[in-house]
Amino acid sequence: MGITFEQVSYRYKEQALVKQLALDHIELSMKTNQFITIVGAPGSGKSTLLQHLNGLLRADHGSIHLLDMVVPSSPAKLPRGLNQRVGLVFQYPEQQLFQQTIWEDLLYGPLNFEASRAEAELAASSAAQFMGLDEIILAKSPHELSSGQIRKAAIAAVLAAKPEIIVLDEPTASLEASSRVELMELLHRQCRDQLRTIIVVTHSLEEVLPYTDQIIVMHEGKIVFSGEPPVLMRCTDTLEAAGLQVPAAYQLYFALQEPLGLVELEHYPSATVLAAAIKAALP
Amino acid sequence: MSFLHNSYDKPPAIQLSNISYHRGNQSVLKQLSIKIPAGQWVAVAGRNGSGKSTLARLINGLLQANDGDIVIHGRALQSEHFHDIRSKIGYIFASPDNQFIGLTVRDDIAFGLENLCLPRELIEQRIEAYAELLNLTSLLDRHPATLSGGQKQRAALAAVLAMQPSILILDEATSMLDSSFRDHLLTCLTKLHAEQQLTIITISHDIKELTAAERLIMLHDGALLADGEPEVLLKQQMLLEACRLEAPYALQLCRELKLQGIDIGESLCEQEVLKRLWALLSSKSLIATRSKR
Repeated sequence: MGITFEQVSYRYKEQALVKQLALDHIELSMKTNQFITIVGAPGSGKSTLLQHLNGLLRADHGSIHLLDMVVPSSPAKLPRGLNQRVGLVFQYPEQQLFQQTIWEDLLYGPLNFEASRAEAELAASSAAQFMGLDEIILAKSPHELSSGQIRKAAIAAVLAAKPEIIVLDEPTASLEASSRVELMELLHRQCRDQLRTIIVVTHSLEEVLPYTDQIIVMHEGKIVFSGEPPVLMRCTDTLEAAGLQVPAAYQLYFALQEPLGLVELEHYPSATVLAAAIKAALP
Repeated sequence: MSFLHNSYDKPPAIQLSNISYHRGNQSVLKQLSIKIPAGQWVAVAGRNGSGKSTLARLINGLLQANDGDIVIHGRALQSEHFHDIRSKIGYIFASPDNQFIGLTVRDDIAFGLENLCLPRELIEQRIEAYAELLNLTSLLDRHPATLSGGQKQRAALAAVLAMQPSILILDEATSMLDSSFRDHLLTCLTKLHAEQQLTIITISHDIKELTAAERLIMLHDGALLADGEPEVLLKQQMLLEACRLEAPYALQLCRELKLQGIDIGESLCEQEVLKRLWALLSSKSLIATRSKR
């Protein structure tokens, strides 16, 4: 089972004065239980693609095979259970918290998906603990939280519903740098230990590369790259078209690779790994 | 520090004296005094809740201090000149949705300019110029709601910059921009800062943005933690941790190399790290060649 897009196209109809093709005959394959990153210039279709994963937007043409479900193009009915099995965290998470307290928001998903009160409380409590939300925060209204706390609460609310696939649109925007690292590690643990599929849209490559199994680059509604991060880092034209730069770790590794005879990269070169490689290569 | 000496020769654009601000029982800013000379680019860092955005909103008059004085370009903010002073301050929010008014990007840029009672011809000129600067020309007739997060932030920036404020405050305004466009924006700001003597305050968690400024103010629990040159302050691990900032990769590599017995000093810049490594490699190769002889 995986996630496959077959000739998926989508065009925004309402509000836009320019009727652009936001997804242009997308052909894409993603494996489950992996950490997948989608990047691209603003307006390239990243967020539009994400919203097709849980039926929030419906394709005009083509179909999406998702786990054992088929998400057909509009107006055919959405498969049962899609919303529960695919959890979406919006770019602006304050848009998805609507209860009077964070605790009620965390309970809403499981109760809505027909869990008993006790099961819902257990799931909500576990998700809150995982995201580091204490009782004081849980008792607060979403309006009383900082932007970082709101984002954590929105992710916890999605986790409480126990989705198999978690889709996050710019999850680290407005978080402090060390909170970003913490969040990425939490998501990576969800992928590695809970065998969930994590799909992240981001503009910040540095943050996600240490955890990413598959990276997808979008440009003007099309997929222009899909593969492993070290391969993409050699495709500077593709990165440039997506408005991205080669991150410092790869820049330094590539600059030193030939003079020092460093091996071809299979994974993200952390500072510890690169320092050890430099030490080993020095005469 | 040299930059402070040079800058303090200029009259202050912003002068905060013993500013305190409370939210309920919580003390958000405590007796804060800061002087920002005209034309200086100041970055403000600190963990969430440290008072960064509150400080910016006090300067813009969006919030009113409980104690202390704020003087902008020599005039007290809370005076009969309040609206005049505010018209000189451009403020860009972290969530651009908070500041759209027009039905198209063009209308939105025009709105502020119309409020300044500028002639129509000049308004059109400014719309075209700032749309081009921020790569928005093809989006001018789009509804802001149909733009992506990064496009919205650029549109919000254009609307504020077109009003040509003398003080520009960016409150985490680049958090949705990709790295190339963030660099482009930093280049634009550097140019505006140099050409127009624009006073800039950037609130950010991004090391590249913090180092683009001339001066870095670090806040912790509503008080001043550090004030100095970004290159100096951002190498201090204690300050990085207090502000929950991540050491940039170049600095991490310098520290890891030192642990491996290779001391090239510390730098925030990867090009500088490479330069020092080349110098080290050259000397090692030389030594290796000499020992073979």
